[in-house]
Amino acid sequence: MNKGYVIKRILYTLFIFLIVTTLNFFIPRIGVDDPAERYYPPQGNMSDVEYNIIKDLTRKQYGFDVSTWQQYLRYLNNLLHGDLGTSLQAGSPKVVDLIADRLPWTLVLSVTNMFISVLFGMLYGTYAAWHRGKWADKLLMNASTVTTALPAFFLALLFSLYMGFEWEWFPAYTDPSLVSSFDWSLEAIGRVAKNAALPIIAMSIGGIVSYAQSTRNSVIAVSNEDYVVTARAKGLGTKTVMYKHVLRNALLPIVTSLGMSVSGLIGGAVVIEQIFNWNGMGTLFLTANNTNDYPLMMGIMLFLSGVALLGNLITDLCYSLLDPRVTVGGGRR
Amino acid sequence: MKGALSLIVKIWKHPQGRVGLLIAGVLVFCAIFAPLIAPYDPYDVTARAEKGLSPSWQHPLGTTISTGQDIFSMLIYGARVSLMVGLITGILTALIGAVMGICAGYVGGLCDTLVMRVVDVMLVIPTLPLTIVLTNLFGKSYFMIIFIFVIFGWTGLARVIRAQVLVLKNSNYVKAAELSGAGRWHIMMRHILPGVSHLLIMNTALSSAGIMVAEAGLSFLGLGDPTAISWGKMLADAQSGGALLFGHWWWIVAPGIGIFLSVFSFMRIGLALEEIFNPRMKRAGAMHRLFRTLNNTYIQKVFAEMDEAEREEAREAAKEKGGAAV
Amino acid sequence: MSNLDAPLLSIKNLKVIFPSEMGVVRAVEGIDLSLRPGECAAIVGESGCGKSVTSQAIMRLLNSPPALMQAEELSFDGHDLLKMEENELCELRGRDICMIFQDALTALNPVMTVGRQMDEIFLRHQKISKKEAKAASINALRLVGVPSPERRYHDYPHQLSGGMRQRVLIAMAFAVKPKLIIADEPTTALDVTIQAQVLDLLKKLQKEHNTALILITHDLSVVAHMADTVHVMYSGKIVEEADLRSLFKNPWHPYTQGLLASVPKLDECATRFVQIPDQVPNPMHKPAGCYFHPRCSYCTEQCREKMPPLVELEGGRKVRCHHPLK
Repeated sequence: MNKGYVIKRILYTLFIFLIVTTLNFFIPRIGVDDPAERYYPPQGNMSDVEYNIIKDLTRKQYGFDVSTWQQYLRYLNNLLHGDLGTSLQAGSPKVVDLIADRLPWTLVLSVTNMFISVLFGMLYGTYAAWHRGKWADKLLMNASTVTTALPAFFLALLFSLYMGFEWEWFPAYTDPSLVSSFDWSLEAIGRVAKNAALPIIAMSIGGIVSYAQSTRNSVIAVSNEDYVVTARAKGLGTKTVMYKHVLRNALLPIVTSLGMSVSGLIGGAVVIEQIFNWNGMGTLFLTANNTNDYPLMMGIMLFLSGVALLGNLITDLCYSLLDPRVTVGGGRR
Repeated sequence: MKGALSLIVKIWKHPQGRVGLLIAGVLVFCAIFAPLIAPYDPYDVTARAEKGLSPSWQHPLGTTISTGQDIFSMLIYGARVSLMVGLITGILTALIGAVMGICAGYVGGLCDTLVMRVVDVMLVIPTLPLTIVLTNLFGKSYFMIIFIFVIFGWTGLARVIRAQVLVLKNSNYVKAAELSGAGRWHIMMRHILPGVSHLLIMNTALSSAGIMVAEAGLSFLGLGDPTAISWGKMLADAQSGGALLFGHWWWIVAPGIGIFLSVFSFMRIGLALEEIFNPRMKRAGAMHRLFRTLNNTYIQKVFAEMDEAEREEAREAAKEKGGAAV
Repeated sequence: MSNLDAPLLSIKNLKVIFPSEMGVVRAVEGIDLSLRPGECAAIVGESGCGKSVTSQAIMRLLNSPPALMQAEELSFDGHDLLKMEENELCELRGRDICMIFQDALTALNPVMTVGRQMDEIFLRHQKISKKEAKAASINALRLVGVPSPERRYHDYPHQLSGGMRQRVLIAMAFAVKPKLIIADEPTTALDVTIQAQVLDLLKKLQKEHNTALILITHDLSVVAHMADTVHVMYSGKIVEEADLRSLFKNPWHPYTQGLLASVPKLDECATRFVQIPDQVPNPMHKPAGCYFHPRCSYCTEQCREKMPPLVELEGGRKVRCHHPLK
């Protein structure tokens, strides 16, 4: 791989990240002179004197007693040391620790969902493209408008109603003791799988269809390329042409969309986690919202943006490995 | 105006577009005349002593368990929020996307760099969490939701428009206009904008559909206007109100179908527009469908037509030769 | 084994149509062609006259849908190509019949090295190891004059120059010494100087291996360089068929005359290019009568009404015209 290209990409990613952090710093400060007022809004039964004392304390505790620019520099410095701030929750836990606690639980849902969507989506999409115009293809075309119009959270509610409450196949709500009692035993893992089943099914239906759709379109587009005719003119069989010449080229755009979807990987589970009471980042964020815990909300936001950026970076680098035209020198038409 | 009418006629002639147009028409009708159609006042939480009724003639979709509101009336009123948010956002997104895309593509230079950097930043900020933060900061309202959707929604369209503008910019007729001394503004309005207008119209329909799903999600999370009735909020009420527990499936399915129909109809219109504007890009193996419906005798006739000419030629050639010999 | 005079390739009444929703495109309307081993036949015509479709039809490479083909006879070296199964055709393609495409950049897979794409032919048609295939590929690259073939073997198509890419395609075509090569506009995408080199190479290899060649081009100067016989094609039909020398000396069809006149010559001090007015007719709506009549300066009432037959005149030459220019 071309070194210059890699360095350029990394520098650009850092540049965008700097912009994102700046936005992240300033968003909670929009519309108020003193961020302390945001962190501790005045309560009705409090006198002005009392409130001013509390404000002063808050200012000191969160470092609002210096100028905004100094706050900003301190914020960046903290970030460099991996500190996303301190939550307003009782006991003042670090935001990083809260995220670290919940992240694995969200990943259980979202990574499984992504894996299932990509795997089955690509397989089905390739099959549909291969048997173009046959029933599998027609089913896909019809399914794609239907599943886009059926939001995942609606499916989740339906599944919860039927598979959860009526037929009792899977737990309709996540077992509240799931997290606290987890101990890596087979039995515990099995329980997690059982609880995760409904959310994952609800999330992956739309995912499978959309990946299948884009795979199909990509495979068909590549099948019409000249080099595919060349490959056939060489006497290669249909299957060889498909595997060696069509698929690799067709999956390139899918890799890109995969990288783009990393940003939605964690954030997208918010509604589903809420429906099933799943103890992940989504519910953490909603709790933070309900308690006006700004440091926690902004910390999660920044974390998600960082993950998205990293996802895009890795995608770009992978793409350059898969497609020699991006980095290997020589003229590009 | 005339153009818009002829476009609607074109969508109507497209079989898939007609389905979309019909459903969307019914929904718009419901939204406008909701007070006339709805049998009860959906906001009225005190009217019924009996709560959690099953569907009956009086209450086609029953009543809610907690407050006894008429679900059918709520369903009708819900169309208002969904359509309003979807359409307004779709149109505003198209406008801003067009301006940004044309600026980036046609003006180029610093303008292009700036717009594309902003797009890159927007793409990595997680939309849903940011929406939650902003509604927390500035209060829950549909104005806020539309604002955020527009702020984040234009990026994708701007990229597409920019790419198309770059193609147009290098086309001969734009170059000719430039050489003949037409101003930038004139070229943008007269040559570039019409060249991308089909993308804008199509995008408005498709993004409206996407926005309706997103709006339902936000309302479901309780981020919409807390006083309005929307399908997403109905679903949230159903979940928290015990529809799952008591097996009141109609309370869940009704708003679900509302969301489905609105999104489905706009998507169908969007896809129909895509085919109308770009007939070469036939979807869904239209060619295969065509091949299956092709009448074999017709094909044979086409082949034979070419043949007959040939045979006639041969016969005449033979005659001519014979004539020459005599 | 086989009698030298027996044709290697024999095509009778080949027809290809592309049905679409707008109507039927009649791409090839019944052409005949026969070719002896080692012979070079040129098919000449403007773009859109059906030349490329013919070449793909011969190799049975046309996908159906969208194409439909029919022929009375399509035989190659004793095989009836019309009756062969796909796997038998695969054996034949690349081993006995090869193809050289016009645009080498799109005709080579962008994500595979040139070497691996060449290896595929050897591995497919000869029972050899990968190592031997690599050696054979490098040798084949050397034969077509690619400098430092060991290095180029590991290059991707976009890293080579246009001329080099075309040489790679030629090397691929001659790799396993086929009996017939179809070259579809082999030099159109190249600079004039490179064109001559590539044509020389093609001619040299053809003579060395005694390969039959179908040369498809719109450029009569390319034909002059290579062909034994020339078939001039217009709008899906052959309009004139003659050996190279007599065609160039004395074109009978007004279209051929036009084509010849549009090749600028040094010895005449022409002040302007001679051109054929107008364009090739839309293959979906071909004119009545002789397809060429709207562009023909010798057009009469008869031409407007009736398609002339392809008649054989003295010297075995054939022409499709009511008023041949003898």
